[in-house]
Amino acid sequence: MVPITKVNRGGLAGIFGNLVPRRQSTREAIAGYLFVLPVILGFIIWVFGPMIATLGISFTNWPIIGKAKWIGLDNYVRLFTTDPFFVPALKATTYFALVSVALRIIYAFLVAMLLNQDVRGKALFRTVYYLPTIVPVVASSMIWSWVYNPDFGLFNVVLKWMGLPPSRWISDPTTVIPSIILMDLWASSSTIIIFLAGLQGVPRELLEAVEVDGGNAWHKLWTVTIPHMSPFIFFNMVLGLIGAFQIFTQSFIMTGGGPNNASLFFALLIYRTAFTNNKMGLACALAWILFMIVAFFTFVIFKSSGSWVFYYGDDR
Amino acid sequence: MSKAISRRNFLKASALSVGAAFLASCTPKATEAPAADAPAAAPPEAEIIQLRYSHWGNEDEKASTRAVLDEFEKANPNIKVEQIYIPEAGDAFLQKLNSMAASNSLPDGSLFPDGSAVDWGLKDMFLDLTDTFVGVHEKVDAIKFILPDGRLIGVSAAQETFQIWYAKEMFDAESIGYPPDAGEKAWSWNEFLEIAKELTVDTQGRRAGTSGFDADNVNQFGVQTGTWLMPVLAMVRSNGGDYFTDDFMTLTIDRPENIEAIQMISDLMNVHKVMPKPTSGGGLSSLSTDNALLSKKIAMKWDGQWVLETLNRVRRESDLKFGIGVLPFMKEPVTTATGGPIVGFKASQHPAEAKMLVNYIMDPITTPVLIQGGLWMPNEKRWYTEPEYLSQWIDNENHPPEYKSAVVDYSMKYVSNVLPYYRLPAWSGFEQLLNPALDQVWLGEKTAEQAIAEVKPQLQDYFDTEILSLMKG
Repeated sequence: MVPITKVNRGGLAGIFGNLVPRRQSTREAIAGYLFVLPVILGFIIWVFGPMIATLGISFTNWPIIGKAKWIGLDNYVRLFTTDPFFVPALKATTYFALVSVALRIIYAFLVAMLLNQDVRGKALFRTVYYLPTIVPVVASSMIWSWVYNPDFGLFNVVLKWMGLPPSRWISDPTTVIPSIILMDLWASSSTIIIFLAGLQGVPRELLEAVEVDGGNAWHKLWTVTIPHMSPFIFFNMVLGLIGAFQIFTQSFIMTGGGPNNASLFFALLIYRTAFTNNKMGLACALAWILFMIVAFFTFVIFKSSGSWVFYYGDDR
Repeated sequence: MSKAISRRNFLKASALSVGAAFLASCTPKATEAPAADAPAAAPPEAEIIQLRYSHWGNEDEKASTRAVLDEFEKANPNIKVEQIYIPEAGDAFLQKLNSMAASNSLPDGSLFPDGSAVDWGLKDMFLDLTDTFVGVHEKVDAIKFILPDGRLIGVSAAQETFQIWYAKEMFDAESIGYPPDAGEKAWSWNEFLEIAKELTVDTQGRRAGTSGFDADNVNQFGVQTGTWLMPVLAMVRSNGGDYFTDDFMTLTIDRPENIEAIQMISDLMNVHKVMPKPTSGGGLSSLSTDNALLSKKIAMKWDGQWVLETLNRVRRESDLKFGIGVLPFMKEPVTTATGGPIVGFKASQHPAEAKMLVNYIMDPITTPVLIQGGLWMPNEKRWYTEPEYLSQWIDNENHPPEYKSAVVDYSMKYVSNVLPYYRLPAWSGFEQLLNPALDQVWLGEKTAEQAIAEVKPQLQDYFDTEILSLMKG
C-alpha cells in the first residue's frame, strides 16, 4: 500500500483538492476517460441517439406536420408485402452496389499497379488520378449529366464520330445504372490510393525469390502481390459496399429515380418518403432495413475473410 | 511543486472544459417564438407586430417580393414583415417548411408548393381564407384550393395556363402559317401533326414523314409538348377523358379516351418522330423554352405562361421572334391552369394580420412588376374582363398583340376543370406511381393501354387507401 500523505499542491489540484484521487493509476484512468468523452458524447448524441429515435419512429406513422400514432410493425409489414417501391429500390441498389464494388476493386487495383511503376511523371499521374475524389459529388453529377446527354453530350458525339451507335445513357432504364457505375469508377481514386499504399509495402525479397525460381510477372502477381494485398482488398470491399448501398446524390441530381424507377436507389426512396410524402415512420423503417442489409453483407464478408485474407507475419 | 498549474492538471482542466462546453452546446435550442424578437428601439406606445413571410424564386423575384412587402409595411405602419427567401422551389422548399413545422418555427404566411397545399390544409395547418377574397377581389375559380368540407385554404397567386410558344423564323423558313391564336380557331390534332412533320427536318434536309427521313439525325424538331401533368391532362381532357370524375371522388384512369390521348402524344415521339424523347438530367426534351426556340432546335414548345418573362428578355437581348398560339384540340379545346398559392399558417401568433398580408400580396395591383413583366397572370376575375385592369396587365411591350386572345380569352373559356391537386391530398404519391408507368409509354417500350392496365390496380389501391381516407378524415 502506498503511504498516503497530504501534500500541499498548487493549481487546479489545489482547488479541487479532495476530489482528485490519490492513486496514480486512477488519476490516469480518469484523465483518459475525460479525453475520449467528447467523441463518445458526439457519437451518442448525433449517431446512436438518433438511430434509436428512428427505430422508435419506425413503429409510428408520424407525418411531421401532425401527431405520431403508434402502429407497431405495420410499416415493416407494408414494405415486405404491398409497397410498390420497395422491390425496385432493392433491385436497383443491390445491382449497383455489387457490380460497382466488384468493378471498382479490379479497376482500382489495375490503376494502382500502373501508378506503382517507376516512370517519368509518376507524380503527375498520381495527382491526376486522385483529383476526382476532390470534386464534390453534386458538381460532378451535373457535369456528367451533360456528358451523358443523348442529344448533344460528349460521349454520344464521340461514339457517332467513331461510327458506333449512340447510347441513351441515363435516359434509358437498361443503361442508367451502368452509366452511374461508370461515373463511380471515375471517382474511385480513394480506393486507388489505398491499393497504391499497399502495393508499396509488398516485400521485395519475396518478389525476387519468385524471379529466382523462374516465375514471370503473373506468378509474382498471383503468389506474392495479391495475397499481400488481401487485407487491403478486404478493407476496400467492406468500405466500398457500405458506401455503395447508400448511394444517393447521383440519382437525386441526375435522374430523380427514373426512368421507370430503374435508378430509384434506397437512400433516394427514404428521402422522398420522408420529405415529399411526409411519411417519416415509413422512411425510418426503410432506413433500418437498409442498415440491416449493409450489416448483413459486412458480416458475410468478415466471416469469409478467414479463408482468403492473409496478414503478412501471421502464422497462416 | 510550484504554485503554477502543472501540465497534468492543465490537461485535466482542458478536457473537463471541452466536455462541459460540448454538453452546453448540445442542450436543445429554445423553441423559437413564431414572431421574432420585437425591435429594441420600438416606441413604447405603438406595438409593432412582426410577421414572417417565406417564398422561393430567382433573384429578380426576391427583389420584387421585398418591394411588395415594403409597400405593405408602408400601408400598415404597425406591421413589419421579415422576408424569408428560400432559393429552392418545389420539393426542396417543402422540406424546409417541414423542418420549420417540426421545430415549431413556421412563418405567418408563405408562397406554397401547389402539389402539397391540400395535404397541409387537411392537416389543419392553414388559416381559413373563405371570407378573405370577397367582392371586387373575387378570385378565378380554376385556381382555388378547396378542402372536402368546403373551406378555401388558398388561391394560386397567379393563374398560369398552357399554350404553344413558337419560333416565328422557323415557320417563315418553311412558309407555314403560324399556330392559331384563338381557341375557336385551334388546330385539330391531325392538322397539328402535319404541321409538326413539316417542321421536323433531319441533317440532310429531309422532312419527317418523307422517305429517307433519318430519325436518328434530326436537326430540328417540330414540337415538344412536355410529358408532365399539365400538358398530358390537357390533352386527355381535350379528348373527352379525365383521370377522375368531376368531383374527384372516383378514379377513372383507364378510360379509353385517356389511353387514346396518351398514345397520341407518345406517337409523336415514337411513330411520327416529330418530338424528342424525354431524357434525364437535360437534353433536347428538357431545353427551356427560350433556349429551344433561340437555338432553332424546336419549332413549337408547349409551356406555361410564366415563360413570357424570360422570352421577353431573350427577345431584347438576342432579337428572338416568338409567338403565342393555343394548344391543338383532340375533341374540344382545353388547357390547364396551375400556380402556387399564398397561404396563412394557423400557427401564426397574429392570424388577423397574417390574413391581411396574404390578401395584400394576392391582390394583383400590388405586384405590377410580376404581372406586367409577364411572369404572373392575375388571379382575380375582374382583371380578365374589365378594360381598366386588362390594360394595366397587357398594354405594354412585354405582351404581344395575340396575347389577349391566345392567353387571356383562351384561359377564361377553356380551362375545363382544376388540376387534381387542387382537391386531392397525397398527390405526390399518386404521380410517383403513375409517372414510371408513363415513362415506359414515352420511351416506346409499352403501349398506353398496356402501361395503364398494369398500373391501374396500384393506383386504385393508393387512391382508396391514401387519398380517399384522408379526404374523409
